Amino acid sequence: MSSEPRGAIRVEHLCKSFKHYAKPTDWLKEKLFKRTYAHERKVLEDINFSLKPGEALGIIGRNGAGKSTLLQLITGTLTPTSGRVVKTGRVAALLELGAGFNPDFSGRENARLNAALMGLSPQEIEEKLPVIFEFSGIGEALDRPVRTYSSGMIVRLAFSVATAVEPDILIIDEALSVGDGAFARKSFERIQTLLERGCTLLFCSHSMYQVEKLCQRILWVEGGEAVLYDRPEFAVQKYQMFLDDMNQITPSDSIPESATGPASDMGSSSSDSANDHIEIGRSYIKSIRINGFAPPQTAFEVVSEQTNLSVEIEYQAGSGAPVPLPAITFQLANNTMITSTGAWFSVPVSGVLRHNQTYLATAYFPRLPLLRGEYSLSVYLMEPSGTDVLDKVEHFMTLDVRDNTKAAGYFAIPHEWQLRER
Amino acid sequence: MSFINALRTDWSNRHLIASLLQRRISARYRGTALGLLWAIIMPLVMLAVYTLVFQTFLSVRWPGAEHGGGLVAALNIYLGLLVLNLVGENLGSAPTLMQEHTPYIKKIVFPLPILGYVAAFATILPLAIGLVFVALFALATPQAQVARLPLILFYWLPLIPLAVGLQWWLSALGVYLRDLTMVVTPVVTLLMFISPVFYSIHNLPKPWNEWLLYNPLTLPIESARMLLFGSTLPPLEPVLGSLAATIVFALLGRWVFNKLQKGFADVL
Repeated sequence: MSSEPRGAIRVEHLCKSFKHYAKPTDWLKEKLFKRTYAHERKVLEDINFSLKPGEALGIIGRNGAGKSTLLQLITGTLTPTSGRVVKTGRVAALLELGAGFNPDFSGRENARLNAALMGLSPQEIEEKLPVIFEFSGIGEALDRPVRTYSSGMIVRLAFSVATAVEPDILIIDEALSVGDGAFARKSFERIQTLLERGCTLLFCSHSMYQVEKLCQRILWVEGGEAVLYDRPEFAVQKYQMFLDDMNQITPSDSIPESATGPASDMGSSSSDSANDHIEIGRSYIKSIRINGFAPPQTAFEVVSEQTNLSVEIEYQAGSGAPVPLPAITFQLANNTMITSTGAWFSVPVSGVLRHNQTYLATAYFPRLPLLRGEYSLSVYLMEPSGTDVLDKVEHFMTLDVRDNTKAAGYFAIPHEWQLRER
Repeated sequence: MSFINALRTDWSNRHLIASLLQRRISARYRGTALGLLWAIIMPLVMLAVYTLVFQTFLSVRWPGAEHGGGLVAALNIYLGLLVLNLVGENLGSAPTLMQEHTPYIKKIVFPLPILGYVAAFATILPLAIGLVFVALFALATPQAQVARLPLILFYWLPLIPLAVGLQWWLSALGVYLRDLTMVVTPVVTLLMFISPVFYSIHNLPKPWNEWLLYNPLTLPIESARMLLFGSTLPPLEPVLGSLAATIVFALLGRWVFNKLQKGFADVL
């Protein structure tokens, strides 16, 4: 539309200190008398990067590292202490669960208002609303007050609004980890579509898989400073090594928050804690391929009882005991799991597996016995007992099963027919 | 940031203001059994009590009401009450406006000054409903010149920048000076007595009748009364002067708001 590039972001020498005032009047006194009344705490120091339209930056780092603060500064909800953020175009941000929603108003009213906040005219809003509602899949709950919604519903609605307004810049802080699996995959696809159209993405996640798949660049933030700004394959590896080292220093199950330095209690978003187990496990899924295909392709066509399906899972076994093994689940569109299989059922586990080693596990499904329909695949990295999930990639691929027999149901079970005259 | 730019940004946000206004009004009455009726009932009850006290008990005389009886006095008081209520509601809501909208300050990028318009316009609704009642009363009062009533929109024009200005001034200061909420209630009570609500400035001795003209409520109240009961139309110049003064007041409030809003997120 315009000659200047839309969706570009430039961050220069960005610093943020949180100031704490004992009394609100101290702020006025500070401005009037030019004296310092605040207690200052540095949370971010000298962050620099720039993104061209269509680029995606993943921000990684432990809880309290300053990731959320960085995203808030770029969004504009916080003002930098020094340095600056230059951005062009319409910004949509999913920073915190339900932020900007009025709990007493219905989903419909909130969607309208949120869209208006992002600069849409009333006509544009009315055009977009059906798309938003369809994508969110909230149904008749739309006219109930948002305070009756589950956190998943709120995320779905917020995500639907934020992406329907066709933003030039999309900023996401952990939001995808809250929604249910089927929606997570749908939103993953939506983000990819937006990226293809030239939307710029800033994405903060504990899921190394998502970060690696979506982003061309990774910024690793630790203690408020940029440790690394690199391509994902290098950055993620180094980050994992760092986490492994941390684990050896502190053998307990959790990292003490004090280890993150002065920025430890800077109010990381509540969804951080939901993913803690993934971070602490330090075992993670590196890549998944189905018959050689990997995302961004998200749908795969197979012929019932004919196609041989192989799922390759490359994963890093961390230093935490015991060494994890992958599992695969097949789900229906409504999230019902129809079957699953874990590697520990067939791989001899004892003593063979080593820590800090990359493995490639292949699950082979000869003449895939699923009947016609759409099935969604998820991969979990679990302790061999099958209890603790260390990493997961849910609904990463849809199997579109075709068949010629028109049999009803989900499975072809081994069977035999006989017919004789009597 | 120049004022022109600021106002242009506000204008581009007009749809947002409209939908927030709608929400603020419906939020206020949502869940109450009588809903919007409250905006009508309360002034009427107050009017009945005040008319009884000041007319019957204290026998305050109104110019032009010598033969008119109670209805003329009631209308005079009601016009005063409408203006006082408008200012009172703005004084009451402004100091906590920002605290009520903390998520808008901390969680999303939001043009905060437009909350001032929203809060101010929300107080104009009861005023508009009140004017309908004024018209009904006036129809039943032979001395009242109902045909002139639409002109009140012009004479009350200064009330809009006054209300918006109060919101900007007090909502921004209220973030830092929590004391404001304490001060507001006595100030409204004070205003009730030092504004010509239950009396007319024409009945006041010198020099008080001139002093009272500095009260920004005096002009709208007295012009409205003169409009309904005066032999001539109220003069235009004072209204234009008042309009200019209230606009300057509002713009100064906007300037203060812009200066102070940088610290909102730090202290809320």
